[in-house]
Amino acid sequence: MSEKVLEVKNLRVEFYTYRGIVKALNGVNLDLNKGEILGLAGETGSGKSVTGLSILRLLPQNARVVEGEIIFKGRDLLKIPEKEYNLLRGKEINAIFQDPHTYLNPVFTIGEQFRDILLSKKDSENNSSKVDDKKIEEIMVSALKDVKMPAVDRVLKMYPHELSGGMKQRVMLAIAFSLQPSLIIADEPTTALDVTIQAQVLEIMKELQRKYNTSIILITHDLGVIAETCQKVAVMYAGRIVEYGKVSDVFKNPLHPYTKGLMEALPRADVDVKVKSIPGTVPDLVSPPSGCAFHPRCPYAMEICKRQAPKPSYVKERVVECHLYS
Amino acid sequence: MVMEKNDVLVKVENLKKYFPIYGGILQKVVGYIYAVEDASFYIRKGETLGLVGESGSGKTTVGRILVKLEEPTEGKIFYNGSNVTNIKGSELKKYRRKAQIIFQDPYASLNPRMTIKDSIIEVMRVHHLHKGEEYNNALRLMEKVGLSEEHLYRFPHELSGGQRQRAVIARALAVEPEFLILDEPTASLDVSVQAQVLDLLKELQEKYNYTYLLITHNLAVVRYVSERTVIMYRGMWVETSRTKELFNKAEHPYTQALLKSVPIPDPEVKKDKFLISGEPPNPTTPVKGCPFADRCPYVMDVCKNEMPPIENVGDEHKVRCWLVTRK
Repeated sequence: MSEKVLEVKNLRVEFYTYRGIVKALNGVNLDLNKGEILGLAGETGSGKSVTGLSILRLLPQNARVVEGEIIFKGRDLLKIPEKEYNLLRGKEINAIFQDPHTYLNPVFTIGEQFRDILLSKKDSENNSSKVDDKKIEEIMVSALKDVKMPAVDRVLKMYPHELSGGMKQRVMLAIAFSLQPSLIIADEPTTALDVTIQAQVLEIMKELQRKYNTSIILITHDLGVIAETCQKVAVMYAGRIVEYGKVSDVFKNPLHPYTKGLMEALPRADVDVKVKSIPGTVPDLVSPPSGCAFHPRCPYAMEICKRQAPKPSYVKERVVECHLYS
Repeated sequence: MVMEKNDVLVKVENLKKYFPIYGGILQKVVGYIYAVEDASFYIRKGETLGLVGESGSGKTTVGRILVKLEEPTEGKIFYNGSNVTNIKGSELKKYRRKAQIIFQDPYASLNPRMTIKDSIIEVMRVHHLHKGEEYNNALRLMEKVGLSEEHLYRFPHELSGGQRQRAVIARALAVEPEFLILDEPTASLDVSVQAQVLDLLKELQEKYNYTYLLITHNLAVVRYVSERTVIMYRGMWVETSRTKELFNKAEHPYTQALLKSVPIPDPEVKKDKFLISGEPPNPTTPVKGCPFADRCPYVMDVCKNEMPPIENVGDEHKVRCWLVTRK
């Protein structure tokens, strides 16, 4: 029915640190269809950002992909030469990060850096043609209008520090969507923003996503944002996806004990709930626990959980990695 | 629950704080940041008051003024009936034993070169408490916050985020305070650990009758923990009520917008979106009229020029909005 844009197969990533080898991703499998928003949920150190960075090939120097494939439109992104990938990045795959302050250059105006980005991608498309300045101007203006930026002409002449956090994040959205990429990795795009501003930015993102039929991987620790934005959700724990399915199914009836625990640990603003915390803390990925990584914190842990890592089980349209379901 | 007037432990009246901006060659005062324009509230003994606002609302400044880390520009603070706004010297030291603050980032509030034991014992020494009994007392504090003896010998970097926040709580309790100011105590923690810390705080309150001022931007946390809530916007309180009533019957358009902006982790909840446009006003210009006027969808002419009066709209429910006044 729907076209697959991205397929991550058995991705394993390791970080080499002075403490030893951190096994950040231990076999991640993901599918993303065209025009779909997938929420990647998890706590600190669960590997959600590493998954995003692997797809963007922006992992830090001390990290290495040990195994796995990332198939994007039929090609393995991990095997594409760097030069070629640079052309893809921005045009076909783009990113929005948490802190727009660090991703906008403070010494150039918004217009200058936006133009540079467009020029670099434009050249690659057709080396011989002279860049059409007017066309670029048009793209910039329409992209900024897309994100409902007031006084576009003035904003183009502004430096990043003259804009508020919400406005900067709108600029990031405008840049990300300007070349109409097929895939956008949004890593905690609204975490640094106030709730009223977050609501504005998410609304704009959803609108543009519908307009251009973009596929988005939305990485966030905020389950509320996922429930309101995404169609599918993947819950990560200790470098693996422990549950994957439709947002409506997973939130209504979480299967994996970790997903259940997360939902129960969340205080809510709309109703009174009794919060139940998950005992213990996230494991150290230098020496992860044997078997299922969640077993030391799991209320349903069985003998087998300590010895053997669970294989993915398919429950209706859902994937769960837990011995309870195998 | 009937409470008497003299149950009030902390009372804050018309607190103002302006930070001067220096500029020019002579570094003269060229303007002010109007951080707090009017904060007024009271907290009863053993109660939790939530102080809610977005960044720049002045909520953290209020907390810092309450533990006397900042001097207020105007306004009064009463503690147990006595005015503590301008206390100094030994009086201040005594007050600091009663009122403690816990910050968002536990790593920044612990000395990285001291073990947890040393950090806790130092506090007791400063206040001349438990002479000769420091260690045993530190041990008791660790048990109180759900840590064990081995954690006493750890350095802050050897603890996880949740354990660190527990250690900070233990240190705050070392002086046997009555009043704790919790400034975003769980904002840097993961969801599963946040629940642990919130439950610990609630449990401690039940057992030892601590009084809390919970400063946060997280409405879900406020709903879970606090009995009453004050909403601040741009340095000014705009609505205050019992938490339950506030969440069900918010009167101020800003409170309503805030509540409807929080993402709810339930895809079946269909909210009527009430998005407000714009962003909070610049804190370097003094507020004339209602601070929310330029973002308010119901704005009237009067809102821009005159500060709305305080209206009682229910039991302990007060709001500052011309819509309510004119209804």
